[in-house]
Amino acid sequence: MIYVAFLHWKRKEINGGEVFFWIVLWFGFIFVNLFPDVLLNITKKLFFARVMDFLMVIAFMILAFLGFQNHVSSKRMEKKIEELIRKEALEKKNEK
Amino acid sequence: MKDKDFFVVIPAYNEASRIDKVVRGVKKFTENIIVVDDGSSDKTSKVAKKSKVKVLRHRINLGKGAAMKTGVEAAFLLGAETVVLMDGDGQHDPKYIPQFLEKISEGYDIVFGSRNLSFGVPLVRFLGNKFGSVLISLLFGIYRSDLLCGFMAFTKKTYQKIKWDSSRYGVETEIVARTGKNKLKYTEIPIETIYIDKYKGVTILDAIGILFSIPRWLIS
Repeated sequence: MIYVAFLHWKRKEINGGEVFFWIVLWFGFIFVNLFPDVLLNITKKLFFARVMDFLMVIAFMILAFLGFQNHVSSKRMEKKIEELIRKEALEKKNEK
Repeated sequence: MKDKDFFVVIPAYNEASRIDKVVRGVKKFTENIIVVDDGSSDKTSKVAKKSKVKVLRHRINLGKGAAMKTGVEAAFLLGAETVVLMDGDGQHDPKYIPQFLEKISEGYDIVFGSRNLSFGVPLVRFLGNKFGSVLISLLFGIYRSDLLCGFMAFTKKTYQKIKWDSSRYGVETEIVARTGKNKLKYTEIPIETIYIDKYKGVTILDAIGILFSIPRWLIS
């Protein structure tokens, strides 16, 4: 996935900030998978029984955020397309 | 009302086989007709153009609400003071157009057509429509016996107040909600209707979508 993020950045489909976010996120997952103990302290403080439970909650939060972002962006796109198509149709209102 | 003061707007999607008959029916009452072809994949535009009416075409299908908006805005830009909206599938009889205009002349801001929902309407549609009517009445203080009827007329001034966001089938319900919210003067005209195509119109999924849109209309 890091490679895919890098590839999209090289193709200029995502910007520097976005590629940084995804690389950090994927490295973060790798690190936590290799050393789950680093999260033990925070897991205990938040009353999670296992590190895995904590990670699941974080993963759902990220998914919900991305879902919302996608929803907003598709709505915005839909609106722009609608405006464009309607404007084009209205320009021909004087033609018989 | 003078002829040039009103336009009839007909949104149509894949109605090549019916649009000609609809237009011919409307032509008995006015020549001011705008057909909005909402990105049909058939020859709706060509057939409508042969009937010598104004045809506006969406390059892709945007939905009934967007087609209505395009037609209504074109009519007002062309100098109309009142717009009558009717469906392009022939389920609305143009003979009611004079009654709509008469009510507008009497001072109503908006006039809705109302189908007799006791006869010939599929049970699911009947129940859904009634549930929606009660809900809208509780939330917006306006009771309409037939929430989903697309046969209606309103003035230019009214349009500024009810301008809808729905691009698809929620549009009629949104117009009712905005009418109630803005406390506009409205009335209903009983109309006959023919259900021609059972696969067109509001589906259960559309109805669920409309339900979720109601809170948005409350706050916007």
